[in-house]
Amino acid sequence: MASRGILINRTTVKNEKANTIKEAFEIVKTMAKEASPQKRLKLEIVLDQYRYLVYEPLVLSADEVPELAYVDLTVTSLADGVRSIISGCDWIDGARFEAVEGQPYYKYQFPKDESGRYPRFREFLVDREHIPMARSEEMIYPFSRLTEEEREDAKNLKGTFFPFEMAKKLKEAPISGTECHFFVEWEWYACHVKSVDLKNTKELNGQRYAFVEFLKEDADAFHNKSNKNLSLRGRRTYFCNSPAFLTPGTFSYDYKRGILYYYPKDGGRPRGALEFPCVENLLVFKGLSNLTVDKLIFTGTTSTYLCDHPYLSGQANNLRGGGMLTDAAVLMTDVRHATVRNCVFEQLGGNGLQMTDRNIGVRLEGCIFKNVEMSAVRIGNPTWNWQEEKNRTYDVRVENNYMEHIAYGYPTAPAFYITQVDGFDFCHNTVRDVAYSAVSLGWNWDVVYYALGSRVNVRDAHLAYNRFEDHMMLLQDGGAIYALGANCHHDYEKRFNSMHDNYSSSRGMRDRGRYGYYMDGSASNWDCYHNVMINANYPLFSQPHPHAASWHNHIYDNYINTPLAPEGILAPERDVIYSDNHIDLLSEEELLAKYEEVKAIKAASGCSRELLRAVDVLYNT
Amino acid sequence: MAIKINRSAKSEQFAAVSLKDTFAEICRLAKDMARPDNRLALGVVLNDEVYQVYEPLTLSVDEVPELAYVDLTITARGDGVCSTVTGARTIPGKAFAKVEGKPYYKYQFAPDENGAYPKFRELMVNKEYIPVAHGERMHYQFASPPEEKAATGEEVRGAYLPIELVRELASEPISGAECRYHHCCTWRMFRIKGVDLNDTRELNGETFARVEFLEEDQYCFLNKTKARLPLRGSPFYFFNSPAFLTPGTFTYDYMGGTLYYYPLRESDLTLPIEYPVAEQLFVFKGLSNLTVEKLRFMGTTCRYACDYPYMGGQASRVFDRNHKGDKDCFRIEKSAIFATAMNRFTVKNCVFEQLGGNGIFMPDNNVAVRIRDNIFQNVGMTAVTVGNFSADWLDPKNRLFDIRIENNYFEHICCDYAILSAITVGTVDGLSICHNTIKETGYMAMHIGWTWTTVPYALGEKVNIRDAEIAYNYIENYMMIAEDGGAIYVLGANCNHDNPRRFNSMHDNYATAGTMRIWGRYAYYMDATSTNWDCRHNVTINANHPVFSQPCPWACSWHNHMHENYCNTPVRAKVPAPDRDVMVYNNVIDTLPEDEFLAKYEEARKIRAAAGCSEVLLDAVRALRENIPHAGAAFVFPS
Repeated sequence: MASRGILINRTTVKNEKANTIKEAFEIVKTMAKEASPQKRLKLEIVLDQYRYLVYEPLVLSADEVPELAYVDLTVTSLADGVRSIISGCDWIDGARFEAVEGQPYYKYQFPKDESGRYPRFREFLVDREHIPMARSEEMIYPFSRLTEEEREDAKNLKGTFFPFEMAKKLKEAPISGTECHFFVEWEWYACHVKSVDLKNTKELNGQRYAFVEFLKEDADAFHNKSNKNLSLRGRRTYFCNSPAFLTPGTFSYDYKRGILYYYPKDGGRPRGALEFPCVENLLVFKGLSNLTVDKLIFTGTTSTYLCDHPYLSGQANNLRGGGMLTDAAVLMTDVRHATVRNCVFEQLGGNGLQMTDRNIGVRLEGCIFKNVEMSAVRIGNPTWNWQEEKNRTYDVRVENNYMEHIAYGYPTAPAFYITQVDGFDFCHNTVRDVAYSAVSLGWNWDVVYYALGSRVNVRDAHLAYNRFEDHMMLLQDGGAIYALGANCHHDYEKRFNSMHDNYSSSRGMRDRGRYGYYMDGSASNWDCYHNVMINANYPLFSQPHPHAASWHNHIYDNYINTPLAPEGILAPERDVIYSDNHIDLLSEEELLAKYEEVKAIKAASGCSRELLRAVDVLYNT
Repeated sequence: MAIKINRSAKSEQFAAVSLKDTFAEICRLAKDMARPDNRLALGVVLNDEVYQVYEPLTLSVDEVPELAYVDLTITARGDGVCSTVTGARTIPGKAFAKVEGKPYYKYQFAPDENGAYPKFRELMVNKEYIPVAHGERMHYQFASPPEEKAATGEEVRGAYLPIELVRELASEPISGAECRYHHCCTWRMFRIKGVDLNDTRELNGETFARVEFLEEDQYCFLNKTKARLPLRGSPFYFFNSPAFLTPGTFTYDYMGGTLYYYPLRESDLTLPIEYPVAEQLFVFKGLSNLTVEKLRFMGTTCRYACDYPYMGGQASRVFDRNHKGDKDCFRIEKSAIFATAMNRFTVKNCVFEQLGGNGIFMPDNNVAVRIRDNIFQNVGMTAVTVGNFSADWLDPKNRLFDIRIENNYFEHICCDYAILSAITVGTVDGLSICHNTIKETGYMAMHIGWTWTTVPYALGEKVNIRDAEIAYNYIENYMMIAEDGGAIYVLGANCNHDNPRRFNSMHDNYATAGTMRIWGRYAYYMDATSTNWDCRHNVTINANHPVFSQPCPWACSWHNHMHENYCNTPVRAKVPAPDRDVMVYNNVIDTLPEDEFLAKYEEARKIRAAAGCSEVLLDAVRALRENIPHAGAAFVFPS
């Protein structure tokens, strides 16, 4: 489908026209050649109210055109209140689906591309919304973690055992593409199933288990790279992406053989807008400064890594031994003064906005993130090596944004993640329904000996007036705000970071592992005050572990409806002070009724009413 | 005279005879035992002695890399200050000979093997520097030589000064005599070659005779006087000429090796008379976890002005004759303690006095410096200098982190080089200057930061001054000589304008300046694009500009708030600039004398009462005065 009417404005002097964003980017690159450090060029790409399809990442990089570093660029929509859509989805005609014999669902066979491969994706959109991937019922894994000896001999361990009936059902349908997901405290593993051997069984506590073999790479990774400090016993696990477990309104996609299975919700033939994502990145910017992305909707991306590899992720969705992925609708690297505002990021299989390497002066304002499978926003490189310039992030302000249903595809991803940062404001955001932590910042576990400023983990961070609802819905050991790491030598006692006036509530208690305001891994120099935390196992927590004990954290004047726990968190000798907290084991309603201050904190928290209305317009009306 | 070296791990002890041996032993132990994964803890304990040091004692990782892995404490044996490290040498009083027909004495040094005489600029009688003889103060009446040359097309032949004073100068040997002057924020010391009483100029009925400087000094006087700073009206005086000797003063002709001394009383010749030999006492480079405590440092000099014309500018900069711009200047680093590239360096409970150079000088890349509970008095240059004066933060050597200068006493600082400040700190991230008492400074009490231009960088990306707290200091009689400076002078932009947070603060300081001056004495002075300062709840007495945030359009300040200050002089109308978030509000301005002002405002009294160093330290200062200071005198310092 042809796009139309993109304007490229050059300081109102000269206008160019393009039909596609790709064309617009090419014109920008050409125009940029006139720019120099002494003579910056101001350009504006104005998109029509239209749906622009992007099947390969569109890149503006100063590596390719160095003069782009001297262009002030705005990418925006034509009019106020109107957002242009940039989508990475391709469509499938419902008529091309064929019924699977003897089954209530349908399938579509993709043709191979010119290199003989099928498209790879992990999301399927019906009428512009992700539908769930088919999965089995959950089981609680009953076996212990591997011993050191078993790990050493792991090459011979090709898989593991699953309940016999579950394995049997899995075997009833094509297995190719089937994944097995493990939820292990703060980690998440996904391995590909190769086969099921119903003759190889094991008994435990009166229950029979059959052997499920993983693909070799996956089996090796599962046995070698899974966290050896975390027991697998008692963890939730299930099969995923197998047609054997299709239910109405779900899909599975055998990305090895290019077969998409779809079980329409109404039981009828597939119809409506049926789309699959084709790209991992929509827009990529590198080395630019004074960049503004405004009033756009980004949708329809995927992440293909898991189609080809086992996925063993640790904290903050980093691959164990493999670093981070850069799958994001908008990927920015090494940018200065970048603003993303009034945009919508929805139905995305990777991250929403991701910024890697050195970024300075980031503003994220008035954006909506919904149904994002990884993090809504991810900023920085996950390393403690501040000394290397590319790992530094300065002056980030994230204000008045809305995030909902985040990271259910890759649950180790926090809704908002930022690594080492100097100057960070996270205020007046609403974050709802997230698989793991709502906000995670910092990247360091050890005690540090540097003076404030000579290196940075988290400095001058200010997280306030945010509303968190239903965090930690899948994993454990994370918080509404999870602040990680020491921020300078212990002899510096000033509390230069603060979290205050945040309101967090979750539906019901979890059995364990949901923290509230969580200062982990030798975290230091935090002020945590005047917050509300409803239904967290550990509402206020400053790490007491002797190997990573926190220092100089003051936690006071907070309102919580669960007790402080566990023992050992009170540590005046480390200047970790809990004082004047209001602990009252009431329900949320009762707490609100009893404490005027709780009501006031709640009322002042979260994004603006205007943004909530925009959410309502987009999704409910 | 044994010095103990304690090695903590096994409580081993080693003995050394002299400080030089001690430092050599430390190097040997470091080489043998110190490793990155096995740091060596050493303690040097000095006896109740006077240790004479005539050449710098050095511990440097350039020479012994393993010193980087030594935790070292250098201290005195007992409580209080009882060990003295001096760079001075004694002259027997009886070696002085009376100058015929004069009330003063002279001592002729013997030349060394190169035919040179010792060079120094101070004389210590009974452990205290005495003043150098100088002529009366006059004001230069003519335009600066470059200006005159531009106007008349003729080369000026020297400085024209009142003929009677010039005649008096010519009445005694001129060798070694100097002419000193300052105009605005510069300071000049030129060596005199001769006078020509026949080369005169008339102005307003007064006769002026020509003074000619040594060749290089003459070149600088004629060519390096800044045209934009008016020389006319600048205070001049002759210095170091026996023609102006008065009781209790001295002069020293460092070219001819003749020392002239006019004792207050004849009996003073029986007191210890010493001249400084060393320019530096201790030199440290690249060490971490070093503590120096309970030592008295005294008896140093700085020979630079004996050999070269001295042209000083703001922030200890010195310009040579070829100077073209800020990048060409340098600083004189002579100091009792010179330390660079240090990590966790503490100087506490020490006395720095009778020093001709700097007290503590720490140029490059210092982290976690603690200067606490010390006394600095009679220091010719700066008492404490930390950092470089460069806006290039990206060069690691220009970075300072976590510098704390707390509870110190400073008196009579930088009066010999009156363009220096008692405390100078370069570009710094994390600074605390609190609870210090600073009295009598030639120029400013403190000077922090270094840049004039606006900056585009985000906070943290680069640093000029960040997270600085300057509070509870008592400052009295600052800016005694030079102009255009402040009690607290901070310079430069600290991040781009879109960050309004005031992350630097000066509060609860008390600055009093004695009598009013015509101009140029500021109190709390945020100069040249200064940003992000909170200046609140201070008192200022008798400053021309009590609070000042630079409004100059080329270098205007941003995001500075000045509030709740108590001033007895008005704030300049151009200072408030709400468009730049420079706010002046809720200040109490009442043009009363200090005593009436204090009587009227209780809050000002409270600020004064809470300002300055501790009573314990003031007691130590008093004890130091009342007892003739010598080795073995124990002054109890705060622990």
